[in-house]
Amino acid sequence: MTTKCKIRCDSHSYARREYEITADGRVWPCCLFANAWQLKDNGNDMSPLLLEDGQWVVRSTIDPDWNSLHHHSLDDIVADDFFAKYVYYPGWEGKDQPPLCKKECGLYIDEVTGKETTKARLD
Amino acid sequence: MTKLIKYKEYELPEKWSRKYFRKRMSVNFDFALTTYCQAKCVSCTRMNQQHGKQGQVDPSLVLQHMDLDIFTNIIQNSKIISEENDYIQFCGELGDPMMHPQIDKFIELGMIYGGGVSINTNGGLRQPKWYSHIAQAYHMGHWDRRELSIKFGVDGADHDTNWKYREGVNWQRAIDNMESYFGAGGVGEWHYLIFEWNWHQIEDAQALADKIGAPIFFKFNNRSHGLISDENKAKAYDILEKMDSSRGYHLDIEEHQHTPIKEPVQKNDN
Repeated sequence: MTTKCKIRCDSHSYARREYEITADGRVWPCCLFANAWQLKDNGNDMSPLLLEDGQWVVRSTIDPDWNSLHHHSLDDIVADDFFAKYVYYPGWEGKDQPPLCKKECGLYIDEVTGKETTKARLD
Repeated sequence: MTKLIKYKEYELPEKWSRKYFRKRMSVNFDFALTTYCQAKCVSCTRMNQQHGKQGQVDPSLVLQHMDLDIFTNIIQNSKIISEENDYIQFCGELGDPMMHPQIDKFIELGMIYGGGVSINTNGGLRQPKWYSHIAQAYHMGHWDRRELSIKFGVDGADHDTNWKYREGVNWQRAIDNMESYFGAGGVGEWHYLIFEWNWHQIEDAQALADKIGAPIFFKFNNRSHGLISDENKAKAYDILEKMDSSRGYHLDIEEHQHTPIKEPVQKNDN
């Protein structure tokens, strides 16, 4: 196990990968990404973390449907570096961590319990 | 070359043994089949908690069902699902899968091509007859250890208590559906979220679960709406601990796995 990683993800680990697929047929790393996309027009503070993420912007600019099952196969989508590296240990341990992962699943010490936790786990 | 087995109108990859998957990383998919739901749970992301009227579905949410053709295509053709999938989940963040008019077909395809199917529902949709039918149709013995598992989210031992969070859910229907499903041999669990207003019904819920044959698991709600007080949490822990001495485990939401009962958090006197 790495000690470099400051993100604790409940969906992806060395032993397990769990993807979210929304009703519109798009593939996401987890429900947080999915919700950031589906509720992007309601002014919430999470959606910009996805929509202004450089890795997302690059892909969406080239192909707005790059993660849509209406246009690409599931295997091709999850093989993209966005899933294979960016929203996984190489990305989490790198300098430019996915902003959404960092905010929701970045580890910190809870003042009350003194234990490591993440925002997503307390929501 | 993948060896195929003929089943109904399908050509199935030969991957019936779950031992096959154990050597590999578990790769699973949660298909959010729909954004429709009959419930108006206050803490649910689909409800407009911060950006409009309380009790109103977020107006920016597009209400839609997943296209069965898309699901059929990927589940029949995905190498990952064929080789690495442990189970297909129908949970979704913004809707109840039982709202999808073609849920039967999704379950069938998930059972055939995936490693099994796990469904989360509030339980108040569809009829008891439907639940007994799928419990019998997907009895594990017929599916080479592939499992259809349904998790019922019911947070009270009576209608009014359940309604305090799961507004819009017919509690009696949910109980009838569970009774029908588990009575017909269905595999699954009753998930009971503990709030400030329902911790006192833990024992009643356990008794009801025993009566209808549902394994019940308790979790503490961690969201602000209905968050249990430290004092009542300690009382709830006492009740759970007392029950646990004869039953084993309950579900701890922070750990996301079955864990032994923990000591209640001590109140800070400062």
